[in-house]
Formats: sequence, C-alpha cells, structure tokens
Amino acid sequence: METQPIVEVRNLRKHFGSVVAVDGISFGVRRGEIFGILGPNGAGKTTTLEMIETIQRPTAGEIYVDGIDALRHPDRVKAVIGIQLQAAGFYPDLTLTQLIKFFAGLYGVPVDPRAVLKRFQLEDKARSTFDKLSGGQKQRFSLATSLLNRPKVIFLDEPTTGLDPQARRNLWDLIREVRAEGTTVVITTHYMEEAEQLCDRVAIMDRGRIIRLGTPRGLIEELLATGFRKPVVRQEASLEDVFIHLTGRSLREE
Amino acid sequence: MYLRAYLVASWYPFLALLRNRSVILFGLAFPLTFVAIFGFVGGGVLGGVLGGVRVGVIGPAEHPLVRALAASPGVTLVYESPAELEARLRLGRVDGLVRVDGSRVTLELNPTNPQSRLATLAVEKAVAEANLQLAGVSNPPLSVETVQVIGRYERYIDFALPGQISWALLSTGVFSPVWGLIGLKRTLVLKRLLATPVPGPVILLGQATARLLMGVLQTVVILLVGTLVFGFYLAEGWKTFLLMLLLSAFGLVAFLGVGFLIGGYWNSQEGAIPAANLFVLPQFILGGTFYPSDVFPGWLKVVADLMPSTYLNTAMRLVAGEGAGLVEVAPYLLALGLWGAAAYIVAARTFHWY
Repeated sequence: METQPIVEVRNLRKHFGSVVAVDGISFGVRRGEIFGILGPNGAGKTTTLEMIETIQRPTAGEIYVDGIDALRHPDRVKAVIGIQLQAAGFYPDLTLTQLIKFFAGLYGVPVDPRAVLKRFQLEDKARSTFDKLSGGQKQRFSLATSLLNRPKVIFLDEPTTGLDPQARRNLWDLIREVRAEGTTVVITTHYMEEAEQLCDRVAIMDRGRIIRLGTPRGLIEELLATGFRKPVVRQEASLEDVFIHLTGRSLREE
Repeated sequence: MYLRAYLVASWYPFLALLRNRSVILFGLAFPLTFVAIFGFVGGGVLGGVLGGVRVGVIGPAEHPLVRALAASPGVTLVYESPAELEARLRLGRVDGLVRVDGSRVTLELNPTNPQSRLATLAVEKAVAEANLQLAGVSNPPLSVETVQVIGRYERYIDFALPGQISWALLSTGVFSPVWGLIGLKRTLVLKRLLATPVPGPVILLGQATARLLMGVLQTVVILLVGTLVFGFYLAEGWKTFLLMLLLSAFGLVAFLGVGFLIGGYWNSQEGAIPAANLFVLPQFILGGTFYPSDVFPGWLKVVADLMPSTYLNTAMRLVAGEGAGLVEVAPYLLALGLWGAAAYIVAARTFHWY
C-alpha cells in the first residue's frame, strides 16, 4: 500500500476547443514527497492541477488520488486533498476567523480558528478581512485553509509568485513543516531556485507535455553529462544571498 | 446528508451580505428613504386638508354670520384688506371670500381651487345657523346627526410601501446575485468552494438562501418602519404582516431565478450589468412601484401588467389594503411563479461555474 503512488496520472488530456492544453501526460507522485511541476506560462501546469483536484474534467485519461478513481468519485477525492488556488479564492467581506469556520463547516471538520491562525503567524489578523492582508499573509492563510481537512496531499499553485525573498523563505519553511508531518505536497512554480531548494522531484512541462521528470540533482547531472558547461565562472554567492544577508530572514509585513 | 454543509453554505454568505455596502444601500437605505419621503409628504398633504378651509372675511367680526363661521370646525377666517384678499383668492391661498354688509352676504369663489366646494359648504351651513338664530329658533324641526363608520382613507404611503418592498426585493433578488456570482467567479471563490466535497448545487442553494434571508429581513425592516412610524395600513394586523413576509419570500425566490440566470451566464460585469438593468429598470418605472399601471396608455398597460413586480405589487396591495388571503392572490402568485420557473429553467441550461 505504501509503495502505491498518492497521485497517479495516466495519458491525461485536456482540449479547449481546438487548443490542446494538456497533451497526454503520465506521472506518479510518491507519498511524503514535495513534487514540483515546472514550466513556462501556458505550459498546462494549472490545468493539470485542476483536473487532479476534480475542478475540471479531462478530455481523456485516468487519475487516481490515494487509490480513488478521481473521475468516478470526485467527492471522495475532494475530501482527502487540500487546495491552494493561484489567486484569492476567499470572500472579501468575511474575517479570517469567519472564513476558517466557513471552510471547516463545508469540510465538516471541527477546527479551532485561533490555533490555526497562530500556527501560521496570523493570530493578530483574526478580525481582518482577506483583502486587507499582505501578499505573504494571503499565501499563509491560503495554505492554512488548504490543511483544514487534514488532507493526505495538498496542491499549491504558484504559492510564492510576487512574494519578497523573506516571505518566500518563510513559506518554504512552512511547506517543509507540512511535509514533515506526513502530507504530500504538489507545487507549481516557475522559480527554478525554489524548485531546487524545495522539491524532491520535479516534472518539467512545456506545451502540454512532460518533457523531463527526475530529482533536481539528477536532471542537472543529466545535462552536465551531455557536455553542457556554463560559460561563466561559478559564483560563490548570488545577489539573493547578499539581499538576505543584508536584510535578514525575518518576515516584513505592513 | 448535506444539511450541515447547506446551513454553513447559507450562513457565511449571509454574513458577507450584511457587510456588503451596495446590498445595504439599495436593499434598505433607498427603499426606507422613499418610504420616509412618501410618509412625510402624505402626512403634509393630509395635514393641509385637515388644516381646513380658509375663508377671507370683509365685514364686521361681530356679524352673526361671521360668528357662526368662526365657530364652525375646520374653518379658518382670514382678515386682510379687500385687495389683498382678492389677490389671495385668485392664487388659491384662501378658498373663499365672504363680503358681509348687513343682510347682504356675497361669497366669491375661485373654481380652479378644489377646496372652493368645501368653502361653499362651510358658508352655507353658517348662513343656515345664523338664520335660525336670528329667527329665534332654538329647536329646529329638521336636524342632521352625523354617524361615523369605521373605515380608512387610502393614503399614498399605503400604495407606495408595497412598491418599495418589491423594489428592495428586485435589488436583492437580481443585482445581488449578479454582482455576487460574478465577483465570486472573478475572485475564484466559487472555484475554491467547488474544491470542497460539498456539491455545486448545495453551494448555489446556500447562495440563494443567504439572499432569501436578506430579502425577508429587508421586508421586516421596511414593514416595521412603515407601520410604526408612518402608519402603514395592515388590514388584519400581525396576520397580514406574516402574509406579507410570505409573499416577499415568494417574490424573492422568483426574482432570484433571473439573478442566477444573468450572473450564471456571464463571467464579467460588462455583459451582465446591462442585462440586469434591462430586466429591473422597466419594472422600476412600469411595474407598479410608484403608480398603478392604469395611468399608462393601452399597449403599455398590457406590458406593465405582465411584469413580475406588477404581480407581486398587486398581491401585496390586496393583502395589506383589503385583507385578501392566499386564495384571492393565488392567480398573481401563479403568474409570478411562472416567471420564476422559466428563469430557473434557462439558468440551469446556461450556467457557467467559471
């Protein structure tokens, strides 16, 4: 049972009219890993996620989540997964406490909103509305709500887009914590540094197809084995290292 | 099975509606403002009538006729120079002008003033009394005894208030789901809700229930303010009150069908808002909100009489004003129900989740 992948996708396709968004992809996500889906905009990452999340119906193919056929039993799949959409997804007029109670009620799980907010460093925002939060706070809150139903796997769609380096690192730490508690994480990103730091394995998508799948280290070795060499001298540190060194790792908000 | 989820999917969107400025503005503040205006204006006109007839007097104040007039209820005597009084008569600021010179009495009237008839009655009555008194008759052979019946005088507020309720319901039933659903689509809230194990129809039912709660709450507030502050007439008291709530819930459910049709079909405000206005504005003007459809020429009256808000207004006016029951207003509710059913059928076929 444990060797069975938590997510298994076979020959998945999605056509929008004559446009092929996802062109027959197959892959598996192992239990307990952080799995990255990388690719330029329009590669089909979000469509792939939304088909696994049962929000969109595939044109063809099979999807299994935790052994459940997602096309036949979307409701059972929804109960074992957590979701963070690319943008917002929350009532603008409700407070964070109300939103947590709202989602907990929809999932039918008991929840202590204060404990949830405290874990994600949002306890002083309990009475604010979602649209009053900073970018990093929004993504933390979104991650918090994706975990309310104690899912086996969560799907995060570009969670760090638009965040400053401190907020991005803070979110990486939280994602690693979530994984350490046994939840599998599937994440899309177009930051390669993020994928290298965070992901156990990555699938690289382009034009609706998966063109490579492996560990970040393995893919780099593969490229080097072809004789590829960077034409520049290897840097001991990056500008981002300088930025973090100078401004610190602690979160800046408001 | 999904009862708990349904209650949750209704309650939190309802809380969001209560915090929504445009819902409060169009659904409560505007109708209440109109109720207040009509309440005060109605009172003012009525006050003018109760203030009585103004009769200008040229002649001695101790003349028996002038004394009899002064003693008449509802008559106010105005003493000014003859030129001033003649000017006021022409302008309608006095309703009649009496010249008294010994036994000769002249009454001058301005027939364009509707109050002039009342002035005639008041003067003729005073002349009769003065004549009896001058003739020394203290026990006249004929006398009139006035008996009052329990009845009512329909004031404009009694007509206007049901119109304001149905306007509030149109706003909450159509504009609120149109703005709401499109907003929820654009902010991905609807998508996020669909990603929970709660089925889409339950989510939508919750959205509808939140508006239903809001609509009934609006009717309660408008009725309470109208009744307690402006004396809106409820034929059978609290029974009529409850029946009005039932009618407004029914009307709101019908209007919601159109709201869900428009908000479900369009994914952006650009197309949806003109469509919603096309449905709501003609009803605001023609649907019996401010005046009855009788004032329109034939073909327009036919159109006006087919509008859903006309059916709701007519039913509410019959219930509130004449104490009609559900059976009497059933034809109007049926017509309203047909509108709603047609809207829901089209909405179910054209709905887009995102």
